[in-house]
Amino acid sequence: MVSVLGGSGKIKRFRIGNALLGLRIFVAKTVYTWGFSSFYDRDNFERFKKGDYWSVYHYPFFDFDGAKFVDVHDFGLLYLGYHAVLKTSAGYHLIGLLPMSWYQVTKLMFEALKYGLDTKYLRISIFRGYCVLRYGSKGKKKKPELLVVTSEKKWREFIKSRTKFLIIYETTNW
Amino acid sequence: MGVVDKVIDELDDFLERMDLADILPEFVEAMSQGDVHKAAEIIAEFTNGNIEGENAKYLAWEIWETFGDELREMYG
Repeated sequence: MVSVLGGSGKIKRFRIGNALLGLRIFVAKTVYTWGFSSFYDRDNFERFKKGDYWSVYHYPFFDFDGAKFVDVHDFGLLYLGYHAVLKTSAGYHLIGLLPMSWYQVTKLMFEALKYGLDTKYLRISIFRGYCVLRYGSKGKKKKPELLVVTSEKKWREFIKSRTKFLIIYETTNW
Repeated sequence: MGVVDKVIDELDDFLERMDLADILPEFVEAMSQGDVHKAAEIIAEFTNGNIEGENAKYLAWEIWETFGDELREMYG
């Protein structure tokens, strides 16, 4: 894959007449995986598509890379109430099992930075206006493993709701 | 249209492109009949051939293993 939007290294600049073309070239292996987005239901998804953001309801998702389990679980207990913690190859996923407005989700994501929320996850989520979590394997990385769920009933409701928000997407495997 | 509008449009388009909602009824029908080959073809078409063959079958199985009961209830 060649990208002009990301990666590390210097930007190579080419002058074409009076114009300047900047290219950042890096090589990464792309893989397809699957997961789900955070929209609470299709009604909220439709409102999002019409340009409503802050009052749209989502299940709050958090991606903690390199954080300690105890910190992630504490954050869940303190701010989310019902929640689930999943182990990933790089850390933990935390899923709130009570939907809340995007305004509330974003406020919580900033709070979660203190507990080790992945900064890139915060940036891309804010930019998109919704969250995505991987639930499938990704190359050699295994599926996230469910470690803790504070309410089996709420978890089943959540899993059932995600059937309407399943996604397949391309990502990079560094 | 400004650059920011274009980027936002591209992001929204990305969401539409990766949403499985449109293919799930057909996917569930295939998997319910044990036809993982057909399910893999559906995934291959969805991803414009970027994932196909054994990789598509594995992805189909992984989704089905996790969400099979719920998907069957929803679309079966």
